[in-house]
Amino acid sequence: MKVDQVVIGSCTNGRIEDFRTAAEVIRGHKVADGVRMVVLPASQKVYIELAKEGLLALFAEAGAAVSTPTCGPCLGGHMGVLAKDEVCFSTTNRNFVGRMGHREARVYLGSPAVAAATAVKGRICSPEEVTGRKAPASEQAPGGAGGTESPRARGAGR
Amino acid sequence: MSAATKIHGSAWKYGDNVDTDVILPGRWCHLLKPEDIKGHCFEDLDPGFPDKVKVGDVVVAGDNFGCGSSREIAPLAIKSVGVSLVIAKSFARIFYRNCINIGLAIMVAPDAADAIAAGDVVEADLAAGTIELPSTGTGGPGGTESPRGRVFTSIPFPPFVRDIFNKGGLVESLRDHFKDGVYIGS
Repeated sequence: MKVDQVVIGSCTNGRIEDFRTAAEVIRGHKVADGVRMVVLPASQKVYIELAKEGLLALFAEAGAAVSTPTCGPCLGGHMGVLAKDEVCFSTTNRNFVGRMGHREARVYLGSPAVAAATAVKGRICSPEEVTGRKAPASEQAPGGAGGTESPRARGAGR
Repeated sequence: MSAATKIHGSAWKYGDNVDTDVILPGRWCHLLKPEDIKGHCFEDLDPGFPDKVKVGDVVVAGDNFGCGSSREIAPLAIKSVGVSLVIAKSFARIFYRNCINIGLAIMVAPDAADAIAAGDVVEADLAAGTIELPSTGTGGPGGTESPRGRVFTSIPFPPFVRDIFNKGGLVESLRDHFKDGVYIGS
């Protein structure tokens, strides 16, 4: 599945360890041509830690747009609002119809490691394809590609 | 605007898991006034709904109505187009409370939700917790026969919650409990 956009972070999957995991996949690589990548730390604390560890620069040099902590693309608010027929792979928590922009855009949800690999390859893929090494089971894509939201998903985010 | 105790309107029928993104998409969350958001109600569920729905109509849905993001303007959008009542098999918990907070009448009534078909004329009594369908209703079984048609029951809200609905929401209802900024009791 080819993608137009990758989002890593938000209040969901925006912890420092999530970005360390994504950084290990993307280190030494660039975001694929034609793909927008947005990095969203969950909090100011995470943002500062990313800066201290050099990960803001790593993501920016790979070609990502690195944001301060904020709501935005997850709910089609701002930054990377999806157009008709666009495909996004995101580590956020909801992919209801129209969630990230146009009602005919598609959103796949998954882990930071898979999101990072997807940004590099421009299509939904396993981190192994980028790093050449097997990722821990916890970082692999569920069922090979992004998970989908259960109607029972909980959360109080906007 | 307050919710009437007795409701009479035509039914708009939807399925399970109607989420707040299709009720009022996130792209309109910067709007705050009912007159601004009403044109976007159900935009990604039933395009054109605001032009089709009539004041007093009733929305009927399946399980988990209002799931997803806790956006208060989702029930506000439904209220702002003039919908008088939402009947569902079940509601997502935050949406349920948001309906009380903004004064959109709701009833949990699984049998009624099954039996009501799109376009049926529904009569509901919020205080009694009853939903009445004329005998011309085309839906499934359930309910008890009445001279008019079939009657379904829902557990009515207690009086203090109905008072919130009647006053048009939590903030409006609290105005009666304050005078010149001082709490004067209930």
